[in-house]
Amino acid sequence: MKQRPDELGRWVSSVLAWGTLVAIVTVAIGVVLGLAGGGAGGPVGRDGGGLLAQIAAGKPASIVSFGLLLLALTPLAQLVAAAVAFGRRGERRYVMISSVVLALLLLGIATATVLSSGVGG
Amino acid sequence: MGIDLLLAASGLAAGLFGALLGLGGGILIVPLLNLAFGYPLTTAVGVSLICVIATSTGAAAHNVRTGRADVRLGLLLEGGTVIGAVVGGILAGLVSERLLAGLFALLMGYTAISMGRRTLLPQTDTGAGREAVDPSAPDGPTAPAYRSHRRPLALAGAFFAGNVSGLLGVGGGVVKVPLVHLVMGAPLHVAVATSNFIIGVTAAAGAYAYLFRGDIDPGVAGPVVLGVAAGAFLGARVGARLHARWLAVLFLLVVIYVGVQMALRALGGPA
Repeated sequence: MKQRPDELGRWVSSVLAWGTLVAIVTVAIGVVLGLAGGGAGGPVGRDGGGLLAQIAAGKPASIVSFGLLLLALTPLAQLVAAAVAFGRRGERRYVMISSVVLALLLLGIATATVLSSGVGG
Repeated sequence: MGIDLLLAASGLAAGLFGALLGLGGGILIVPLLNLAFGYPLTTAVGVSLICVIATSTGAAAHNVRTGRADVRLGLLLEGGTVIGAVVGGILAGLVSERLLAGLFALLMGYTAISMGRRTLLPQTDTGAGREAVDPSAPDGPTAPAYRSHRRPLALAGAFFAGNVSGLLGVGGGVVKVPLVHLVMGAPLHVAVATSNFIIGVTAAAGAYAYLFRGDIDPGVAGPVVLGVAAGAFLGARVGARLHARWLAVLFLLVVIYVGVQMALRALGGPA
């Protein structure tokens, strides 16, 4: 029986492992900075530019929020990795399924963004 | 600093318990944050979803690499769970705390019955999926040798599981594992690993609504996520050395107690 290296498993598991690790380390940096400087709570920039400016300024709450965002985006990156790996294996059906799930997730983000801007301003 | 340490310790306990009992920990985090710390249910649910992503993606990385999780089956079901979770996450911002508490109490009741049967009654192996072989499955460890069936029914169940997850902040393993094992016919160990793989995507789909609505306070979520991640890591390593039966009985008592508290809140709390 032919046995090829399982690229799908390696790609998906690597994205999951590294995504989780980077996100947790980022959250940890924010929490430690918060403990040193009076807490990681408080308002956080809701738009990308505002958040990045606060991170650059070393604001603990923004660093934690960025880590949480990375964590929430890891499953999304996993779907991209799965779609690419299935594509390289020639499994078109699963490329399509991964892409549909990815599109649904992106639609969810878009819906959440639109609704939150409508509610929270 | 004191509250941060308490939050981290609570996360550690939830992550440890979750890993020892094969759960994401959300079923403990939501009541802990709501009943013990007094945070609103929407905050507790949002933070819990983030924690569920952390425990699920960490464990799924291992399960996918070793071929325990069926990636193809997982992707198929994710279509249903993602839609359900997005709808659940949006609905949670619109319904009252009392209704949320009531739904959570119902989930606790279901979990208590399902865990009670598993813990207190003798185990029977249904043998589901053991003999069926999928002839179209390609080679490689990510293609388990069995045929999944009743896919439309499973997709409908996945939508329901996603809805429960997005609305109540739990991974929904208590719904997904029976769905993959009993409805689709996958072996139990594949069902558990595949459910875990799906949970990360489901929880993320639900979490976006909470993140963008500003329901997830980084001052609360940060310490809890770190505690949960540490607890899950620790639990995965010490789990094999512990006798899990008494832990399961203890967990069952906690679930019943929390379920009653949530039910009381639903019946008597402010609308």
